[in-house]
Amino acid sequence: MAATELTIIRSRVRWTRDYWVQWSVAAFTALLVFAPIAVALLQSVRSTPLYESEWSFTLDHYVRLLTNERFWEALRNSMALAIFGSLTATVIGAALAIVLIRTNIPWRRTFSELLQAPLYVSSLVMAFGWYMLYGPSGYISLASVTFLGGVPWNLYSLPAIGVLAGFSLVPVVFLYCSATLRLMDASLEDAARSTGASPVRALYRVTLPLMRPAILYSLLLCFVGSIEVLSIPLIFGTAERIEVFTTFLFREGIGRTEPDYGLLAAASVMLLLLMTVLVSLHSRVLGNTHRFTTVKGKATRPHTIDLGRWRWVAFFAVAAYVTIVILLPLVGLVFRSFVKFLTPLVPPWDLFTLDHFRSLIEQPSYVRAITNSFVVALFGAAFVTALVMVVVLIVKRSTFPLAKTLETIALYPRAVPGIVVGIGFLWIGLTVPGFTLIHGTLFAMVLAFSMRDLPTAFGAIAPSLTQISRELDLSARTCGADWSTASLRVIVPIARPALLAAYMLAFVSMLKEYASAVFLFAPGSEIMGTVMLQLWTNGNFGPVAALAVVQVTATVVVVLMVRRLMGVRMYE
Amino acid sequence: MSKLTVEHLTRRFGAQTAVNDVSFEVQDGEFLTLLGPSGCGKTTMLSAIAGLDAPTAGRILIDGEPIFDATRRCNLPPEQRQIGMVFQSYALWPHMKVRENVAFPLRMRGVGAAEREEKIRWALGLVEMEPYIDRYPHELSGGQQQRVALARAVVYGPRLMLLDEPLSNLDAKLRLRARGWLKELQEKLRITTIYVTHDQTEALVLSDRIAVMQGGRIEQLASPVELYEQPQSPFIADFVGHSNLLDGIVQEAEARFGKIRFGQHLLAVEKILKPSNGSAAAIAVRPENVILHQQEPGPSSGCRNFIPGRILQRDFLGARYLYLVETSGGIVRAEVSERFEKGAVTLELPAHACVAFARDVAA
Repeated sequence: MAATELTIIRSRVRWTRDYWVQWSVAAFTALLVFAPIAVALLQSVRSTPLYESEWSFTLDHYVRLLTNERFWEALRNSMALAIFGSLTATVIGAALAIVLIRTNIPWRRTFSELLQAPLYVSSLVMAFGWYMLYGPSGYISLASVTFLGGVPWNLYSLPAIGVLAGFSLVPVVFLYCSATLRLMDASLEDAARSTGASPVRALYRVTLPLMRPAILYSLLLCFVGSIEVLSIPLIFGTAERIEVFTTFLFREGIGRTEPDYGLLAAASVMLLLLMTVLVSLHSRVLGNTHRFTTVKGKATRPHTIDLGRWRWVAFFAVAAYVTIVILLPLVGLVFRSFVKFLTPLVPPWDLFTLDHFRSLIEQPSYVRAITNSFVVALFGAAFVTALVMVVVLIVKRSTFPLAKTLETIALYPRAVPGIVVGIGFLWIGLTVPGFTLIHGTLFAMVLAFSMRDLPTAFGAIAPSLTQISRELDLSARTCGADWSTASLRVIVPIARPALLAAYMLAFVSMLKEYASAVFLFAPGSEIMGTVMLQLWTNGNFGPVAALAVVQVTATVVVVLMVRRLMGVRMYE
Repeated sequence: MSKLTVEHLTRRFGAQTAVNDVSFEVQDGEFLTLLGPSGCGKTTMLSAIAGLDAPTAGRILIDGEPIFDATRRCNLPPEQRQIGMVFQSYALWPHMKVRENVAFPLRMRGVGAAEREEKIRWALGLVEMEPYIDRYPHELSGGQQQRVALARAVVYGPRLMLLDEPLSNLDAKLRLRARGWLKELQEKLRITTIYVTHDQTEALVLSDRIAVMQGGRIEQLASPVELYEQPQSPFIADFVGHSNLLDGIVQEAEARFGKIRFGQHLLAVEKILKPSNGSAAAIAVRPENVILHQQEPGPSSGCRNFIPGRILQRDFLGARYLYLVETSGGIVRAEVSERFEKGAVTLELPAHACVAFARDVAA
């Protein structure tokens, strides 16, 4: 009797709908993350390319890679780039955060908004903008030659590439440091003031040391980000043959008519290994920061520090940075899209043209690229938002035995550079039976971009879920709803603003994505990023600028729309 | 309506044991309160019964049928237990109107529209919340939210009702009214109820029986009157009624009577638990049972213990004064209606109001 009763109870408990939902979503997520990596790993120890059925185990590819002088040079360059990039980004980002959050500098809100622009604009587009203004034949460089007789900078050098990579990462540091500053207990500064410290001294002696964990975390984050970046070394390094890890992979994979599969795979695995070590390191640092945290639960609104006369100095410094690094390049791109060529020597109205935009409408491949980009971003963002919502629910709100592991898996793509994702999904499409159907289609891109954006969406949804009281879904459970129903009927509706935010972030990120797409597109499935890169390689800058304008405009429209939507929701 | 049985229930979190081998029964229609300070395991116990948390060992049965059994790895999920629960925050879903909140358990059970409407009306009528049926939770006061939460918990006729400190979020005045509500509702429905609180007054007023919990164990399970009059440990004497706990040494111990050395004095007590000569003891006396005299009324004799002391502090409580009186054995709290000035005073500790516990009983 006991045995039958046991099986009845077991079957009632174990094989529920919740069980299936949780295990299948977890398995799918693991597959999405690890399949492209597994394929690269397999290829790296296979004697023959993946599509050939006969093979044997070999370490030959690794030997060839490690004896390849260009690989070592790329590795050294990557490290140097990462050091320049992370230092630039952290110093500028942290300084901007302190000045804009803690002092009475004018136009604080406007500057904070403008500073975040590079988050929404592809680093490819930013790099085009910089190139067109400050490159060897850029508008400002030429103006400098005319008026100063020379150009006091050279972007075709490793330190310059590092600094530019750093510029693209400044908003990340700014956001992280300003969040820390906003939550920091203002009474700590006040205490310093009450003992007789001047405002600036209080900043220097109290605020800055308290920011140390945030600064250390930012350094590591930007180090990883600098290693991963493809566009900037590609645009500024190719001419002088300055090669980094990602451009090495790019050249080995795209530049050759017959890529060396084994070498490519081995290099991918090495890059992955390096990134994994760095990412796990910064997870650990973040874990540590929680131990000596100065962050209090409620956000106090600290009064700002009066800089006195120095506030105008600070104002002009910040204004100069924002203008030179962000505004001018974007304006320059718009400008470039309306002229035949960009030069300070001829008045621009003589060169005015609408040909670039006309070509966007008339050239079928451009039209396709734009529509494809939107299709991928619309569906991909919806897909990854829905997937991550379920993943977060499993991780934070279920008794799923591998919840912690699932979280680690969902966050792992932080360590996978876009170019490796591209190579992995390309090989899956080429070799895995059944998946050959998706090769070269938009669907492959939706999958690859979704994998890339898992951590972003996770970061957007998970914190909001911890703000929804646990009792709300537990009470649904006691009312008779299973986990799936309680999640769907209670948590998802309440988490709607976070879902919208996650969708927006994913949409913007997919619209600007290019690194993982360069390996995935085929004629007919090109997207804006890949077309821009091709056009740029051919020196066809007009349409590049026009496409960039379309991309940036679409992004701005979406961001404003979603903000408005969320604003309305807040006042409801 | 159902009977609940808990057998040898244990819940460990790592090295910590939140609930330690607890067994008890709740009779059909009974109102049982789990009373104790925070961290005593009462909420863990409630979660285990509701199915929101899986214990480490033991069994839980409703009407003899297991809903949790560690040895057989049986753990019925909460949605299949038919247990209504009211949470501390009420946990009304903010995106649903009162009607939809109360309808939810019925929808989960596939109740048809007509019957659903009827039951919603019945449950809301029970807590007199029918006029608010189309409001959103944030349009209701705390007390009203609590009543909706009650309606939602009982609307489908659960086997048990669990209440997790439902009054703790209300202000003092409202709490008194809400307490009355709860009592009436439970008497009307005669539903088996388990109530968790750290407030001794709530427990005494509402319960048929009270289980006082401490350190993951039940220290005493008894009716309110028995608990108040015959506490089984100094902890309970302290927690229920805030008794003075005076340190002494057992001098003479008989079955029902004893003498305890307290400072330089010998106190007669009428009850000794686990006595043995020469062992350390705690004497529990409630402040309201202590009598103060301006002059010494005479030597201690029989059941009247007189001790000289000095008033250190006087607090005006309204109807009474609370005095802190220093004696040779320590500070004694006394709650008396007469007013005394600071200085020398004589304390009287009536033997019938004193209970002595062997100190090893104390946690």
